[in-house]
Amino acid sequence: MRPSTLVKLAWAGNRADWLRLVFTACGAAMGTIVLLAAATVHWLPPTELIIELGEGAWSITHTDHRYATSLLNDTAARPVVAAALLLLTLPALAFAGQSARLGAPARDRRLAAIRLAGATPGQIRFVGVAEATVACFVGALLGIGCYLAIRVLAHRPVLADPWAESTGEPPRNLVPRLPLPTDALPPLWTFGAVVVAVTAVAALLSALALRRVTVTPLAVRWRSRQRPLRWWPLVLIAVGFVVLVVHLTIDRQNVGNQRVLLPLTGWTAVLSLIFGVALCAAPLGQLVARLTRRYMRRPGPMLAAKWIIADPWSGTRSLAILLISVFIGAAAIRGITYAEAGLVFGWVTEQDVHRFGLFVLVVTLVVASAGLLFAMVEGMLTRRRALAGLIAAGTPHGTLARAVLMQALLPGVPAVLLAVVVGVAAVASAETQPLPLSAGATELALLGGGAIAGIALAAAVSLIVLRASVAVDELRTE
Amino acid sequence: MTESLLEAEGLVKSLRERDRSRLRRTDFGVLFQFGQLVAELTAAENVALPLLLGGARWGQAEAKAREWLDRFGVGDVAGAVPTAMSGGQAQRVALARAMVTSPAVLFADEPTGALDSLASEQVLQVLTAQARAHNTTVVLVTHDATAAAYADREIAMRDGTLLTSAEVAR
Repeated sequence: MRPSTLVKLAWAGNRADWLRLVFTACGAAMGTIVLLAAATVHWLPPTELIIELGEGAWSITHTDHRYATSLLNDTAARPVVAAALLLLTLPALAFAGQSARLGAPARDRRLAAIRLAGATPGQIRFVGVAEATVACFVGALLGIGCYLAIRVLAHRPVLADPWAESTGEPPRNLVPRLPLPTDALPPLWTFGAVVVAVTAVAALLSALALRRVTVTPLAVRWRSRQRPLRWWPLVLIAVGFVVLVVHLTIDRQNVGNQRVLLPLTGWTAVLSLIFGVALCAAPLGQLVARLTRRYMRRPGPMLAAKWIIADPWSGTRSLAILLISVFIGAAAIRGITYAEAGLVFGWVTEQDVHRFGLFVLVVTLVVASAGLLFAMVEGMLTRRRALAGLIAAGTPHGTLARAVLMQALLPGVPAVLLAVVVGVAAVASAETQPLPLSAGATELALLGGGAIAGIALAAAVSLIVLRASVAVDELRTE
Repeated sequence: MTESLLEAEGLVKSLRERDRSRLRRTDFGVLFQFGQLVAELTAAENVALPLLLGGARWGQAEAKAREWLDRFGVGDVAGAVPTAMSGGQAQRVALARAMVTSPAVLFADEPTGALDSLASEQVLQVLTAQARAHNTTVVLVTHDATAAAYADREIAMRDGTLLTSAEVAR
């Protein structure tokens, strides 16, 4: 079969399919913008400012005043900014992956119909993967367009006197400053690499999502993972901490270590911790559900516990983005508190650190909440026949609503707490100066509480769909 | 007959999934009560699908699809999607899709089960006429005696067991 026909089949969808493609492309575009922003910061030329001290004496500093934020002016702070931006790509790409499941049951039924017409399993896989891949490719190109547009629109130098700003004196020597590094551009190959990377990740994610879907000519089967869960995500977290300790003990003066070993161990530690935290939600949820089933005998909690035990992964997959965001947020809060204590970043101002930290937090939480809401609505629509069956059998709407809320909160609450603890512990283990573990407790409580409120809010909003989709008529439709 | 069925079953089971798909696309046609059309594709695209999956060019496949839609009397809905057709029209489009590759055997499982008597008659008439014209063997499973009357040979089953003529007469 011609690839063009397969692509045409992949994109032959209804309104829900188009919505899925648009959101997937948006996620890919967000990921592309963030990746390019990280590349821009990484490729900024190192700054050298010569300060005359008088009487022939002078000093060189790696800080200048080209940009409005001191985080970009200080060469030493740039890798931290680039790393934080790189971490932002995780929720963005996870959002794209979550969007790729929107309306998927209807898409899978279409694939079954194509299979009945004689398509081979390989052709079906290609159709399934091509849809998300093409959407992400288009999204990545759009992301590049947005990045270039932002670059043009934000290139508005503002005259300011940095010295006067810091001392409070009236401005004298005005110099132009840029709000963003719009005077620099990463190498051209970076754009190609970002498009390839975003598209490849999308193809991989959609292939993984199709792994549990068996499309036969007569039906579609969704296999749920029902084998007992092990605690290997905790092992992943432990490995993350071990690698982090190794990373901290590596000689930082050695050029070879700087190029290979330090980034390798640093990223291995961060990614191990992130994936460990995200994957822990399922075993944690199952444990809490078992306890709930044993000790709470009311219908709502019992239903929720049964659903979680039957398929512990389905409820927690959607939590992953939020947990990653909470982990990043907790780590950022701890890091900012550490910086505020005046222990690092001598040239970076508190205000800029706060602004950047808030930006990272708000973006990740908004993206994560949107992904969570999508996942919950999707889960509700997928189970609408089973839920309609419960209503038909006399289950009150209130009981069902409580069960849906608890299904989200039972794995959510312990997982969020774990993400906060691991995020704080990761940064605390890298600190060279003593700082109490309770530092930034208010902000951390706000972050954890906000995330749990986000889960409850997403579940509450999805209840609107619940009422509409559990009409007894659902039992009669195909 | 049981032996040849077992032989055929063994042969199909011994094939790889990919080859079974090819077999379904070329030598076999399948027709169900409803739900076999791709809801997002037009009638012409649905009928052209098996040809496209086999590697045919779009223009060539579409021309052949329209030819088959005309034969089944639904050429006027070539550009419509299944939800915009009546049950009888959708079933004739599905029949055109099953026949477009000129299969040796067409398996029809209750093909008129979801249709009223007039639409059923139209579908069965056109099915038998085209099957005869293209030397296609139709294996039709039905509970409907009227539909069964269109067959050249009738085999009755009860609870998975073949009945003899005497048992059928009783």
